[in-house]
Formats: sequence, structure tokens, C-alpha cells
Amino acid sequence: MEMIRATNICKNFDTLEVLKNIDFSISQGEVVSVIGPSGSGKSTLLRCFHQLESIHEGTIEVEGKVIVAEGSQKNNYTISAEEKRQGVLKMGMVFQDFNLFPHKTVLENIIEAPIIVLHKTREEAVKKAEELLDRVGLLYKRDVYPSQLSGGQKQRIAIARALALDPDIMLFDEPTSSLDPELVGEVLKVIKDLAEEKRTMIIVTHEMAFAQEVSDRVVFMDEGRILEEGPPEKIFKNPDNERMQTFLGKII
Amino acid sequence: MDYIINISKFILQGSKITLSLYVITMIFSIPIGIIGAIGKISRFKVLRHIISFYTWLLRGTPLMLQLFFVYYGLGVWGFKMTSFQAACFTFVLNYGAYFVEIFRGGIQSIDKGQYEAAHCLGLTYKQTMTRIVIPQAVKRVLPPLSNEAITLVKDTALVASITLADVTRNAKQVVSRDFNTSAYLLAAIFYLAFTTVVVWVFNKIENKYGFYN
Repeated sequence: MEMIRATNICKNFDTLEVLKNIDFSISQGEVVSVIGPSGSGKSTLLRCFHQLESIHEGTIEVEGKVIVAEGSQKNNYTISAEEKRQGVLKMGMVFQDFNLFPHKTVLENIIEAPIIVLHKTREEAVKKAEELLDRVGLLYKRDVYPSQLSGGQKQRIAIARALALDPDIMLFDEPTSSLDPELVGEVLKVIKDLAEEKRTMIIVTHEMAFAQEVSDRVVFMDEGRILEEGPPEKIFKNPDNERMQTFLGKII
Repeated sequence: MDYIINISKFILQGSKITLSLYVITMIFSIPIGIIGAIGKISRFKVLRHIISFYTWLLRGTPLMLQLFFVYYGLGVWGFKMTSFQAACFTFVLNYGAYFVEIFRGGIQSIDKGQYEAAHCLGLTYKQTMTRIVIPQAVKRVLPPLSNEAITLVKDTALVASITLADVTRNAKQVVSRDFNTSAYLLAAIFYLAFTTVVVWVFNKIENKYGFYN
């Protein structure tokens, strides 16, 4: 089953084209890493799925339902705000800068949306939150505020917060780029755990070794286009694309 | 000493006006500030312009002139108010205008990542504002808010100019009657005590919000 399908997506920031006719899809249980140089449009692509960025052309389907249609496709679909929101709820998002709520404790951060959005009871939400906290190894931080956590801990809480809504798809937008090098490992371990469960995930990352290890498929983007995609062995060991070869040459 | 006690009683009678004006202004102008700030950052252009005009007008003219206009000017047009009603009306509108700008600044200082996280968690705009953004904005606006709260203590003295018998006006009456300026000193002590309490209250609130960084 196709979880997300993006068809012919174009996006501009003023005159700068950041996404040029992108076609992308991910099937259930697939782990896809998106790599590429800064400014290649890989974060923007991910943010479009969550409607954090608007597109100028193309459609985005989540689990077979079109939730965004713009440009030449705009008149072919009528999409209500509620349908868009339901689409968003199918995807959990983890940000580069964590974006935890600083005025809420770790537990309150996690139970907020389940209670407010999914209308779970507090007991249910707390029970689930504690399981998730245990899973990311931070149950003992249950009642502290985010400012008392390290970057790696914050990101693990952010992952738990996204998981609390039981999303079908997890999106990671450079989840380790704001972290000190020694804290990267603990976050990657949590993500790897999720990958091993065969969760559907898209990971935008600069961690090449990690992408190679966990992904079923690697997508290489540059200047707003997908230049090459395929299994990690192929992409990292034997890329066809010249631009990909130079990119790998620079970082490995 | 008897003299001091006597005039103290008289001056303190004016504190009823001063204190009730203060409390009414604070109670009504803070909600105006929060609601106005939300309106000013909304996507409704007309609403934004109306609120901008309101803050431009009320912050751009002297409070005393506004008092005269509301009390004497509006009266001519048939909006008759007692001097105390006119004072409350003017002060609430005037301080509301300042609070709009203070809260707008506070709300806009909240990182856009907070909105994005709330959006991705399925919160509506209203839930995002009331549960995520405004609680954080309140903490940030407390210092400028306490400044305004202190200024308001002293601004209440302006109502003496529309014949309200507040602390300042009563003190002035005593001085004119007795040719003795100690009444001014007593009034000053009253205002100092009042601002001290206000500062103390705001420190308490800031400490209460100190639970997170």
C-alpha cells in the first residue's frame, strides 16, 4: 500500500525554484532516507507533506486520499480543512530543533495532543506516554521541563510526542543536525529501533552511514530535483549520477 | 500631629477613587490587550487596520486630552457620563491600546517552530494560541506589563483635572486651604506605598512563571 504519493510537485520561494517537478512515493513499512547537499530542497519536500510549506503545482496523497492539490490540479479536487487535518494526523513529525513546548513538562508535552486532539482520557494518555518514555529511555525525566534536558534527550522526547498520536508514517527532518556529536548516537538508536519495527518512515539526514544502515531506499536530491534513488548499496557504492558521486566524494 | 491625622483621613478618602479606577482599568484593559493583539496578527486585513488605527490614536494623543474629550466633548454630543465613568472609559481604552502592542510583541516573539509543532500534532489555530502561544507570551510580557502597571498608579492622578476627588486633588485642596505643603508629602507616601505593592505583586507573578526557561 502506498502511504504517501507526491505527484509533480513544484514550489518556489519568490523566483527561486526549490522543488522542480518532484515525484515521490513511499509504501507501507518502507524506510526511505533523503540525502543531498544543503539547499537541495529535501527538508522543503518533507515539510510540504505536513503542509508546513505550500506548493504551487502538483498533488499530495496520504493513504490514497488527496490532501493537497495545487496549480493545474486545484480544480480537480475539493478538500475540506478537516480532511487536511486528518491527513496531517496520519504523519508524525520530528523537527531539527525539537520544538518541544517549554512551558509544559515532558509528560505534558506528550499527552497534550492525545487529550486535546484525539480526546483520550488523561489516564489513557498518561499510560501511553509512560510506555513511550520508557521506550526512549527517559521515563525518569517524566516531570521535568524541556530546558533541563540535553539536546539528545529533547529529541527523544520529541519522537515520543509524535508517536503518542499513533501516526502511520513518521517524518524526520534532520533529527540530529542540531545535536552535539556525542549526542547523535542516542537519537539514531531510537530511530533505528523504529525502523526495525518496519514502520513507514522518511528520514531527511546528513548521517550517511546511518542512512545506509537503516534505509530500504535512499533518495538523492540536488537543486530541487530527485537525481537518483535506489537501494543503499547501489546509491552509496555505485551511484550512476555524477553529481551524486561528487557529493559522496566530499563527505565520505 | 492631630493636623497630620486629620488631613491624612481626608486625603485617604480620595484613595477610593484612585484604587477603584486602578482596579477597573487593569481588569478590563488586559483582556482588550490580548484580544486586540490576536486581532492585530490575524489574517483579516480590515480588522488589523481598525486595531492599528485604535492604537495609533490612543497612544499618539495625551491621556489628559482624551479625558477632557470624553468627559466634556462627548457630553456635548449627548453621551453623558459621570466623571468617574468617563475616567474609567478613557483609562481602559488608553491602557488597552498599550497592552495590545505589548501582547502583540510577546506573541510574535514566540518561535514559529511552536506553531509548526502544534500544527503537526493536529491542534487547531485556537488551541495553538490558547494552550501553546499565549501562555508563553504572558511570561515574556510580564516585565513591560509591570512597567505599565506602575505608570498607571501615577496616571490616575490625572483624573483630578476632571473634578474627581482622588488622592492628588484632595491633597491639593488641603494645601490651598491651609497654606501648608505637608499634604503633598502624604500623597507622595500614598503613591509610593501603592507602587511598592504593585511591584511586589508582579515579582510574585514573575516568580510563579519562573518554573521554566
